[in-house]
Formats: sequence, structure tokens, C-alpha cells
Amino acid sequence: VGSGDKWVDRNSGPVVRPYALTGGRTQPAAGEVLDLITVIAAVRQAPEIDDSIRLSPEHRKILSLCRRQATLADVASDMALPVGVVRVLTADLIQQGRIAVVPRRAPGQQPSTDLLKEVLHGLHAL
Amino acid sequence: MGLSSPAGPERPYAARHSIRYRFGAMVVVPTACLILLWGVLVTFGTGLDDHMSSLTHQQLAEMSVLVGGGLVVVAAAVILMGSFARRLSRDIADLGATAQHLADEQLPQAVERLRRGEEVEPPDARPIRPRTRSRELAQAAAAIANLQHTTLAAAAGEARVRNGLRQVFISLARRNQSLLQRQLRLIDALEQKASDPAALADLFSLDHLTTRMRRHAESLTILSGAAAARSWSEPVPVIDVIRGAMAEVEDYQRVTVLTRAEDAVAGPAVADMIHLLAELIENAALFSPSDTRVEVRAERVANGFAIEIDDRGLGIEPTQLNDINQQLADPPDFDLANADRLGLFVGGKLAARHSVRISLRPSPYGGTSAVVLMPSSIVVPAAEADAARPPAAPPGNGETGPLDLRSAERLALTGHGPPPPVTAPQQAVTAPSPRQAPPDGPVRASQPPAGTYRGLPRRTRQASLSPHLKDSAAAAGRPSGSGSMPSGEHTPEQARDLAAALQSGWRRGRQAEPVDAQPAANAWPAAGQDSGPPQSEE
Repeated sequence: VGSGDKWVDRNSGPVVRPYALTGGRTQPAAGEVLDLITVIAAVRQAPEIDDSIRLSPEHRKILSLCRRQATLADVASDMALPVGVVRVLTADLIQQGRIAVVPRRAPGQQPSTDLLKEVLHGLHAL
Repeated sequence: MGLSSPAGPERPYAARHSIRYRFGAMVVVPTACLILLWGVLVTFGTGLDDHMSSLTHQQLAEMSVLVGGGLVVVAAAVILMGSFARRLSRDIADLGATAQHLADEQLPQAVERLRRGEEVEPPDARPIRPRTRSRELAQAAAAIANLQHTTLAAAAGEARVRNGLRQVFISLARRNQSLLQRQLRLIDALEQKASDPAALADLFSLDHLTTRMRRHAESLTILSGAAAARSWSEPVPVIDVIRGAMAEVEDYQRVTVLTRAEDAVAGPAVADMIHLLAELIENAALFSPSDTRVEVRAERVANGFAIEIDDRGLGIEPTQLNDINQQLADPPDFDLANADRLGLFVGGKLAARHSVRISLRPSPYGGTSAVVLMPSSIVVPAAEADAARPPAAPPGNGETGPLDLRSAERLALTGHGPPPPVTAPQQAVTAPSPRQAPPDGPVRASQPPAGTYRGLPRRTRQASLSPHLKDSAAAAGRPSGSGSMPSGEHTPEQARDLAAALQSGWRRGRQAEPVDAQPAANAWPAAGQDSGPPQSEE
């Protein structure tokens, strides 16, 4: 039995396997559509965390990471968890009203290049 | 023949006569006869005197003397034989006592120690020293010694076989575990990549199966008495330990963990506690209907930390419950006969290893509730656990706090706010003394973190030196190159920190989905922030 058969700390793998974090769920609750660049943020007037016993440490960590807006990919990377898992956990929080999806502007509503150029010119002219 | 006629069982000890009794009987009867004869001679000799003058007084007197002399000889013989018999009886009693001691105490102890895998000194060549001078008794003593030798040799042989089997078990389990660990790492990587929920669900099933296989491999290692292959050096939060255990159970979706506790389990006990809880949770899930929940609660108690596992099954008979509790409190030596209660046996063994107390009792819901009481020695209180854990990298610098939803675009584009503030100017103002980091080094390298990444305080060079010594030391150190480094070069510590930060950045970058260069950017603010507060205090 060599020392290569011992795993310490990080080599032991995660203490909690990812599937246990979501209870085996892989579909986000209530059909939330969350892709990698969905921007999420904690809701300012979030319900007081009184049932924190129902929130897992990962839920809480997502909440703290979302205190400032972040993309789902950012959150997943910060938590070192698969995006699929973070997606499910985030959807839980969205359902509870603790996190909101920042609405993306529709392509038609983006300011046109002309408008931006005009603003730039205006600024130069100041 | 000796074997075929065991005199032992059919006759109780009381029905047998001792050597003294037999000797007494054998001596007393002839002596009494002799005395009787002498008496007869004396009485009848005087009576015959009148009628038969053929026997003279002298002849009679000679006869009496003869008989008397005989009596004396007999008496002397009786005394000699008596002492011999007494010695014989004592020697045999000694031999018996020694053999008894050997059978009752010495041999069982030696066998027990051999079973535990300890070395037993080879049996004494002459463990029984007969004081007897009779050859037969000496032979008997030698036979007993021989017996002892053979028994110990047999026990040692058995222990060797057991040990060999144990090693085979351990080796097989370790090989299994090694493969499973690799498989899990692969699954981890696949899970990171999986974007499709259906694919992730499949991976989860695979992950679950592999995790359970790993648990069984671990069981085998524990049964063999070896330490778990996984280990942690830092404390792990109790809730993670419980959820880790939950993940190793077949019906993990039925398990609910309810706890607010933020305490942690000491690193060396983590792997064993995960396994122990997994066995108990599995037991609870196995013996309760599949549509009921298994609840796990955990809280700090006066004597340590208690974890309660509640099921809503049918419960266990009180007598059986007693049996199980007994077995958990004092795990018997591994016996293949109780293979159906392997889980409990493993649990008991692990509990004994860390002096954890497990007790089962009827639950108010009708099922069984298992209470695991971990001693304070393996529980790290919440505050200490936080200090021991490496500080988590902050999500980024710049604005924090709940944000206006309107500024979303900017943040979504930049990812992580403004670059980390560089504190070099501030350092130059607040710390002009030479004890600060090398003056012209790269900005980042010139900010050694105030603590190691595990939160230990780091010594500041020359911080406690008196001023005049400082200057001379710096001056003396410069030529030799040991005191202060030439500008632009890193000290070994700085180089190590830089390498560590880069490494953690790479690691996080690999784990993450393709999110630009953000992980590497993140590693730096972590170190920069660490160094922030203490320096501004000076």
C-alpha cells in the first residue's frame, strides 16, 4: 500500500458531492431559464432570513456573491461548482424572491452606433 | 488410549479420593493388623503361660521384642512414605495449579494479543519448573509446557493468517478506492462541463453510484482496521460532513438536514465521521418506508456535539435495541457470523476510534432515532473553524452591497468592477522605515500579505529591532545579499506567494467555465486585501 493511495484535502475531492447539493435535481425550479451570461443580483428588500435553516451554505454563498450583480458563470466559477448545480440553486433563490434576474435589454432597444457616436462627439466638443 | 478414556466428565471431583486418603488407608490397615497381632501375642502369651510351658518367658519376650521392632520399622516406613506422599501430592497440586493458570489466564491473553496483531514473546522454554525429583512428574510438566508451546504456535499461525487476509482486504480495497477516486475526478470534470440538465442528471446518477461504491470499499478498509484513505487537515463544517454522509446513502433524496450549527469537525476525524453517519443514515433509510423522510439534526451540547438521525419506520424491538446499543458501545472482534449487521459493526468500530457515543432509542414518531455524540476533542467551535479556514476570495473589488438593477450592463460587461486598488503610494507615506518591503520592487510583490493564506500571522522583517541595529543590519545585510534584496528581485517568500497565487488562479480558471481571465484577476485582490488593514494600522 503505497502513499499514492492516500488522498489529502483537495485530493480527497469535495466533501459533499455536487448531486447532494441539489438533492439530485438538475432542472431549475419553475422552469427558470438561466444561461451562463444571465445577470443576477440579490434583491435588496429580500425577505428577512428567518428560515435560514432551510438554506444550505451554498444558497447563502450565492446570496453573498450576488450582493453585487454577477453573471451565473461568475458565481459558478467563484463557488467552484458545476454551472448546472449553481443554476438549480439560483433558481431556488429566485423562487424564494431573494434573487432577481437583471432584465437584459432586447436587441432592438440597444442604442444605435450613430447615437453613441453623437454622444462621443458631443463630449469631445465640451 | 489416553484420549479414548477421559475420566473427567463422568465422575465429579468430590467422588474421587486424594492421594493422602489413599495412602492413609493403605498404611493404616496393615499397621492396625500388626498392632492387633502384637496385642494378641502379649495377651495370649501371658494366658498360655500356665498351660504350656514349652514356650518360655524368654522366648515370649523375644517374640514381643521382634514384633515391637517390626512395629518401629513399620512406623519409620510410614513416616517416610507419608512425607513422600505429601510431597507428591503437593507437586501434583502445583502442577495442576500451573496448568490451570496457563489455561485460564496466560494462554487466552497471549492468544488475544496475537489476534490483535501484537508480538508475543516465544513461550518460555521451561515455564513450569517442577520441584519434584520424580521423573514422571517432570515429564508431565514437560508435556504441559509442550502443550503451551503448541497452542501459542497455533494461535500465532492463526493470527498470521488473519493478518494476511487483512492485508489482502486492505490492498484490494485500496486499489478499488484508487480507481473510484479517479473515476470521481473524471465525473467531476464532466459535471463541470455539462450544460444540459439531462446530461447532468445522468452524470449525477453515475456520481452517486460511484460514491456508494467508494463507501463500500472504505467499509472494507475499516473492517480490516486500517485508516481511511481520504483525509483532511483542515476542519470541515459539520453540515458538510452530514451532507457528505447523506450523499453516500442510496436514498439520499429522502434525507433532510436541519441544522444551524456552524461548528466543524476536526480534520483527522472527518473521513471517519462521514462514514459513521453514512452507516447510520443508511440504516435509518433502509428500515423506514420509502415515502417517509429521514431527518438529521445537529446541535452543540455541553459534552460535545450531538447529531440525531430520526426515521419514521416501524422501530426496533426493545431487546434487539439493547443488543444493538451494546454492540455499538463495545464492538466485538470482527466475526464473519454477524455479516448482516456489518454496517453497525463498522459504525461501532469508528465510534470507538474517536470515542464517539452512539445510542439508538425509540423515536416519538414510532421509528428509531440514533444519537451520535461527538466529544469536544474532535469538534472545532464555529469561531475557531472560521479562523482556521483560508479566507475566501472576495467576489471582487469595487462596489459591494445590493445594487441598482439599472447599472447591470456595465457590470455584465466588465465582469468585476475596477481593478484592485494599488496601495503602494499609501505604503510609501505611512511606512518610510527600511523595515518595509524592498523599495523598488514590483508593486504587487512589494506587498507581502500580513498573514499566510491560512490566516497565520507573518513576521515582519526587523519589526522588533531597535532603530540603530536596524540600519546596521540592513547595511551589513546588503553586501551579503541576505538582509534586503536588490531591487527588482523577489524574496523567496514573495516568490512562493506569487507562485501560490498564480497556481490557485490557474486551478480556478481550469475549473470554471470559460469566463475570461477573471479567476487569475481574483487571486490577486485576495492577497492584496489581506495585506491591507494591518499595514494601514502602522
